[in-house]
Amino acid sequence: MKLTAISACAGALFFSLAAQAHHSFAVHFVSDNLTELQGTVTGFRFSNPHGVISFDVKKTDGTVEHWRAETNSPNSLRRRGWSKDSFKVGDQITIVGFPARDNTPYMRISKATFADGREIIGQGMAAPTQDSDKD
Amino acid sequence: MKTFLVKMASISLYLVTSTLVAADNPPNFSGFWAVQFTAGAEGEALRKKLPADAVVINDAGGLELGSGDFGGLVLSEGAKQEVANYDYKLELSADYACTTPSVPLYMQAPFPMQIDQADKLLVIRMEYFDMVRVIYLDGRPHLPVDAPHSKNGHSIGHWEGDELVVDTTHISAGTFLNNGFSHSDDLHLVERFRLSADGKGLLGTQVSEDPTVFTGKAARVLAWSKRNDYIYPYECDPSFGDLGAEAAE
Repeated sequence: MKLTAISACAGALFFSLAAQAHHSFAVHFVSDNLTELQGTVTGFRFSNPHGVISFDVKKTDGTVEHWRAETNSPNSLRRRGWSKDSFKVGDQITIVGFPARDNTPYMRISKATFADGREIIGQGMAAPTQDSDKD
Repeated sequence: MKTFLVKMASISLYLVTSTLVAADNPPNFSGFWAVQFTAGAEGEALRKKLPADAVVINDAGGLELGSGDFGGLVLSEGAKQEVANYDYKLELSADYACTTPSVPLYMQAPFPMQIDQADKLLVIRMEYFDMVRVIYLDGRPHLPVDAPHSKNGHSIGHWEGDELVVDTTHISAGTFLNNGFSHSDDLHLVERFRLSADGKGLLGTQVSEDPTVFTGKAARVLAWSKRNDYIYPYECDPSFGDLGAEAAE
């Protein structure tokens, strides 16, 4: 299991993210502690209010932890090229995201990288442009 | 509260009569509009026209205030209690996942909208939760005070020069700030919309009054840009709530 706190981003970064969901981003996720996980996709649901990527993460002790990463609204993501086929069961992925405040295995995805190097961007880490970082 | 509603009805009557000074050739807001994070210089000009005593909430485009931050609004004791008792985990439940937002929040949310405008009617189709809003421009009054409420409320509008003024009542209680603070059924919302100088932008303000949950006026400054796009269906899927709840267990 690779679990890395990537950076302690400034609070100002969060306010550039336009994070509103049907539920509160600010209340549910830690915005200043991006976390990276490597795992195997076990499912992908792509419907509103949020898509959900399910994936298994192999821990250093050999056990497997089941995680879920919610996405921004599929409506916003479709405009950025996502589809219901963006993730397939068995895909090896590295996910960077904002972890849940309650320490459950749940996060908001910021970026996923596939084994072949392809990247797909969720809730951005960069300054927003137009629709790019909206729910 | 009845006094407040009567006052609002009187204001509405005033607004209806003021349609007599409506513009002969009002601007056309029809088109697809995407949310902007900032309203720019023209938005600042609108901000200056807000009531001097209004508390401006800086959350346009879906930005959020954190838990316990109400942007300077003074909450009623009842609202404070409700916020204190709010259970955020319910937001991840199937019951909550597809709860529709009400006008002030969905107009602020980071989703586009399609406006179709006719002489006596303006329809706003929101991508967020597939909400459809009808604004009557034909001089009709608001519904009777005891008419049922809805998340869209009842909207009547009139033109003041190039500016569309929309008065909305009968909005059922819903999220006001996305941090556990809700407005009540008594919310009275007045919005002003105008095109930017180049016609490529739409600017708007919200002024809300809801003495049941906060003192005075709350305001927002909003902005959209015109795009060549169309509304996608939202078709909320409540099963998300099951997944979220499972993760939170």
